[in-house]
Amino acid sequence: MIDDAARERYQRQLSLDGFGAAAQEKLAEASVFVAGAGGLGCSAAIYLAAAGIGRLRVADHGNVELGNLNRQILYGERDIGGHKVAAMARRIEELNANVSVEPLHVTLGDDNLYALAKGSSLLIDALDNLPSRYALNKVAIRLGVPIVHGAVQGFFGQVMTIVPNVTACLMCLYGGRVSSGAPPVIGVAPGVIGLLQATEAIKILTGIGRQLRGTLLLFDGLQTRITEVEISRDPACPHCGRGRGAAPVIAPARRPA
Amino acid sequence: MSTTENPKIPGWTRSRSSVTLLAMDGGRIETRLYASLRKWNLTSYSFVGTTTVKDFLRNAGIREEDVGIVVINGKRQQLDTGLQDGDVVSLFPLIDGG
Repeated sequence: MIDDAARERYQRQLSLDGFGAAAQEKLAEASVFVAGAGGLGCSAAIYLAAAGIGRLRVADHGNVELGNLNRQILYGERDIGGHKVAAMARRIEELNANVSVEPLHVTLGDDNLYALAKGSSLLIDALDNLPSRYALNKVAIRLGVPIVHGAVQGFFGQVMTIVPNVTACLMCLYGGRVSSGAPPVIGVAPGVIGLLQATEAIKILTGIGRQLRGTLLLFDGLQTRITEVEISRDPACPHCGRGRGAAPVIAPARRPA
Repeated sequence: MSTTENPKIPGWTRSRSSVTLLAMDGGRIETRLYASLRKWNLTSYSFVGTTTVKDFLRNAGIREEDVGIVVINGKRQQLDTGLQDGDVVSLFPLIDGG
C-alpha cells in the first residue's frame, strides 16, 4: 500500500496515464541489480532510486578517481579514494531513504555473478568491458531475468533490452568479440544512455509502454541522431541458442590507433 | 538523368536500359560512419562490378575488427552482404564503455 508520504513524493508520476498506485507498488517491490557504478551506473541508479525502486544492489570493484568525475555524476572530490559503491549508496540514501541499497565492492565475474544477481527482477548492464558483459548475459539467461544493456564511446551510445530466450542476447549481437582499452567519453553520453536504461527498466517493471526488446537503439550525440536496428537471435548462439554449453568463443579485436 | 528520362528525346528507351545495366554492374552507396569510425570521414563510395561490405572496408582502409554492426537501409547485415547502387550503409563500432 502507498502511504501518504509516498503519495506526496511520487504524486507527479502517480498521475501518469497507465501508471497509478499499482505501477508504483510494482516499483517498490522490484529489486534491480546494477552491474557497474561508472557513468552508466550513476545515471541509471539515481533515477531508479528517485522513481521508487524498492531495492537496488549495486556492484563495482572501483574506487573514485579524479578522472571519473567528468561522467560519474554521483561522485564528488571528497569521495576520491573511497569505494564507488559506498559513495553511490550515500547519494541514493540522501535522495530516497525508502530505497534499500546494497553496495557491493566486488570484481564481477563468472565466479560470483550468479549468486549476486539471483533474486533480482532485472539487471542493468552498466559495465565497461565486453568479457564482463558476456558473463552477465550468461547469468541473465540462466536466471531468466531481463537485462537492459547500455554502452558508450565518445558522444555515442547504445541501449538494448534483452529478454532471455525471447529476444537476441548480447552474444547474438557481438558473437563473443571483445575490444580493449578505455574509450574516450564525454559525460553526457553515459548520462543519456543510463537514463534510457532507467526508462526501459521502469517500463519493464511496470509493464507499460513499448520496450526496446531485441531492438538496438543507437544514439549519436554529435549528430543528434537516433537510429534503431532490429537484432535477430542467432540460432547458433553459444549463450541462448543451440551452441549452449559449447566452449567460449572470445575473439580479440583491437581498437583503431 | 533527367534528360535521358524525357520520352520526347529519340533513343530514350535505349538510354534508360543502358543506365539500368550500368547500375547492376556497379554503383554508389551513401556511407554513415559512427563514433570512432567517423575519423575515416567517408560519406559515399563508388564501386564497379559486384561488391560486398568487406570489399568496401578493404578499399576504405577500415579494419573488419573495428566494425561492430553493419546496417544497410535500416536492416542489420553481415560483412559478406552485397552492395547495391543507392544503398545507405551505416557502420557502428564495437563499443563497450560504461
